[in-house]
Amino acid sequence: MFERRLRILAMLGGLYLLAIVFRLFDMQVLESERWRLQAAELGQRTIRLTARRGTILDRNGVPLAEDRIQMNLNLRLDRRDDGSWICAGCGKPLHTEYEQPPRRCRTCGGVAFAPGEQPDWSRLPGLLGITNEEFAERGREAGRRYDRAVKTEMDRRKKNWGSARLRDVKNVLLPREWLFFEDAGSAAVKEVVLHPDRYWGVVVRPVRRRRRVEHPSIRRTIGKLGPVTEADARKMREDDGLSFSSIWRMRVGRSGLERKLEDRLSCREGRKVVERNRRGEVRTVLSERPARDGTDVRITLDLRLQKKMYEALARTCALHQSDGGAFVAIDPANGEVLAMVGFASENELWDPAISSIVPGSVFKVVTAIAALETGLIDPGETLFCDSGRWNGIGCAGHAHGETGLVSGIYDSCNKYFAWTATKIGVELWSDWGKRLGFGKPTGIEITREMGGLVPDRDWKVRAYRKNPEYWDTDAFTASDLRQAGFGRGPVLVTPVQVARFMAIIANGGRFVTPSLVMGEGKVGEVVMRTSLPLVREGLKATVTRGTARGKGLDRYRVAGKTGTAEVKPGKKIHHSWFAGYAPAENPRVAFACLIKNTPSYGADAATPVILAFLDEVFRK
Amino acid sequence: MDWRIIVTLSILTLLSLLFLHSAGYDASSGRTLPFASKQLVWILLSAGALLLLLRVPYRTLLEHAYLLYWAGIALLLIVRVAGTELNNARRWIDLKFMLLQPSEFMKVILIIALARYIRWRDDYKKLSGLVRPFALTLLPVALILSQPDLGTSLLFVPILFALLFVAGAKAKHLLLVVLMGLLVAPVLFFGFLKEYQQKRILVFIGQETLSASMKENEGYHLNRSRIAVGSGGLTGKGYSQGDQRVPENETDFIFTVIAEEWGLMGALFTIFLYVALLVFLLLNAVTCREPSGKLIIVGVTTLIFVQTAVNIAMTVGLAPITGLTLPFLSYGGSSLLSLTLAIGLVLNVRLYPDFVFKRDF
Repeated sequence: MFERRLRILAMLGGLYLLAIVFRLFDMQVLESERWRLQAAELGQRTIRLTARRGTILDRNGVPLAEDRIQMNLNLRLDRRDDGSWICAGCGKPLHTEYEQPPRRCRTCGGVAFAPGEQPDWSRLPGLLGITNEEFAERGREAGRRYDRAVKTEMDRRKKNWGSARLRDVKNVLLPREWLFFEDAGSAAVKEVVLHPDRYWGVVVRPVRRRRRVEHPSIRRTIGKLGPVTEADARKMREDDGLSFSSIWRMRVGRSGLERKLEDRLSCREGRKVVERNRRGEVRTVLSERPARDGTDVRITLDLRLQKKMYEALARTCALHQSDGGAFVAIDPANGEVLAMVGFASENELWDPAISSIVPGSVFKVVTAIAALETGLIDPGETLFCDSGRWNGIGCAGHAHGETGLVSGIYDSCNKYFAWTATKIGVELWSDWGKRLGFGKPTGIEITREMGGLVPDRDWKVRAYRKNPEYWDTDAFTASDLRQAGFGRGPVLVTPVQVARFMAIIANGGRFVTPSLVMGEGKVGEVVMRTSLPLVREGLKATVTRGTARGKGLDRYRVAGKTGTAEVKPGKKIHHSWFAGYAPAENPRVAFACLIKNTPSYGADAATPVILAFLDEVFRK
Repeated sequence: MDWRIIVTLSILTLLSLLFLHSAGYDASSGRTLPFASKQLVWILLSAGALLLLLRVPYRTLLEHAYLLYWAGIALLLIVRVAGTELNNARRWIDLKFMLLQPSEFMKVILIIALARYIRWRDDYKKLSGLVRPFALTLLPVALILSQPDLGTSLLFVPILFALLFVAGAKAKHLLLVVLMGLLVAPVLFFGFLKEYQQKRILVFIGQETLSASMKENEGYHLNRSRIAVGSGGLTGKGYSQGDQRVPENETDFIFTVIAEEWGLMGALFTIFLYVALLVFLLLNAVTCREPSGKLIIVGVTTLIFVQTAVNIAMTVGLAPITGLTLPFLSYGGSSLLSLTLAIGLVLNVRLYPDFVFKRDF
């Protein structure tokens, strides 16, 4: 009886074990491929290979904008309502019975505490350099952001799917780390890393951040990074085959050099898909796309000089009750922009150095060149300038007497150049304005550069259509031409254009394409031939006996042209200009300086800035 | 002394240490959690306890069977009142140097108590005579079920059935009880099981059609365990080269590590070891001439068989997930100690054959 029944039991047990063996055979041999695929999916890890965006260096190699690893402190937040133990890091249930505190989650390595074990953060505020109050508030803020995200996601699910489970939202969807303190100092980081038990829930995360020089003299020129736009993203997907998941994290240049040099600076994150065993050792590399670092770019500006020039500009603007100004210097030999500073006391975003503005008498030099190059006037021919008006144009009460081309330049006679312009005619005059680089952006590597305006017949037609009340006719009248001839009326230039114009004169009439990148400025074909000696003579005389005499500019043998553009006729508010090059015989720098909305005249307001620049450049 | 059993047990123990070492790798901290070395201490302690047990003739234990039984019940009551709570369950008494799990020892005690009870009676051949052995079993079951510990509590019932069956209880009576059990099953399911226990059973039933969310929550263990076993293939990924991280793979899911890293070959080898152990135990039952000794051996064999079969079955999705350890392979002191003592009982029966009081069932 006993043995018979024992045999029955043994047979039943054997059958059950046989069922298990069949199941094992089914899973591990017949269906193994299905499980292997799932296992591969779970065992796969994508490792991001970080890449470095190129550094923007100044002329002397000082980094202006560079990628830097900064340490952020994140908070791990996970609030389980039922009080059960889950890992704050990964949300999986904790199995803590084998470990002494601090216990680590065996799934993700997060440090976990049993209820009642209190972390001690009391040293952290001091090390971070903030008050306890502020520290607590940051923690609460991170918590609030977490709660808001939970709520938003819950609401979204309820709305879309009709129901939502708090646990799903908390465990699966939300980031578990929330930014708590950006760029923590090394003392705080060390403290947190060395005492994981004290700082439960605080995670140190290295983050790559762009760090740029924040001085106002160069900030706008450098520009900044921003998120990828939809158009950018589409292009990257097509060109580089990047996935949206890697694109959305990227930041690309949105303004200034960062944007214009994007092709060179930009980097591409790489990725490696691997299979790892439980030890975390890589078993197989499934695919790899190496990271590509951006290239460093050295630019022509000198940070120290920029700062000096910004200070000089700001000081001068304050002294002359101006609301802003600009200074641009270009190396005439190769088009390198040596300095480019814009100062605007009221609008930080607006850069006067690349904005269109009325040139005033500086533009007379363009008229002079046009006249000489076309041969339409005889340089010896003179106009008698008395204190009265000629066709409504006066010289601010001055009487220059018999005025030729050279003396017209150095005495800055309005009547002479109005008369000259009418002799040249609007077509040739505006053509020469454009040939000398006005009317369109110079193409330096900076965003939002304006093009200025050289008026011609087409422009007048457009202007009339736009505003028929203001303009009497759509024809380019002689009066328009007379005004334009000495740089008033509709003519608009940018300081960069003016500096480039002076560089053209300074290097013997060859066209200059300025550039902010080392070695990329270009000196092209000759545009000025016959006009060069006389124009140079006029510009030199401006400093020795003309409108800029006695300002100390002759110390550096400067040649140049002053300009005083009336903003509102009769209001005694001007845009004051001085543009030129030095030394006159063998020019090494060309420059333009603008002081906006000042009661002072061109030479008075702008020359201190020029002198500050020349001091810096030539005293060495 | 039955050396076949000792040798089989030693091989299982070595296998255990090998795979506890493999399961102990912790990728996040880059170190090996000391499961194997800690388990080694338990193995030595258990061996010592086994030797101690062999010094006490099993008839002495039988004499004090009811005393042991009530002592076990008392411990279970202490757990109810002053137990240590872990993972939402109150199963342990904190002895400072170890966490004692009385339910593990209750398994062995119940075998002794039932052997003692059945040995001197034959009223269990009537239906009414089944009441008292069932009461004897269901008291600890109820206490353990309330901890809650579904897996361990369900172990007791097969032991009772096996003992009654081999002792000659009427098969139709036992079938009737099973039928009644099936009838009240829905009541038990909805009335007594906690929500998570219900879900485990539901997940088990619908394991081929789990949603993504269920795979991450209720079905997490089942899904991961099946992936680990299935991906092992015929020959496995190689020792310590497994890539799946089944939670609790050093205790309840140690079989997944073997099946993943040594494949079907390793799994069959393990099952072969268990079959060998069970066969050797049963051979003892056949050769033993003393009735209560026979009953003890059958009880121990049933205990080890059920625990092994259910544990392996749950890793391959043939049984719902219950917290049953794999005998001699899983990490954990209480489990190892109690099962070693159970084996010790069998060896004890063989060691003291003079205690013969012939009775045929």
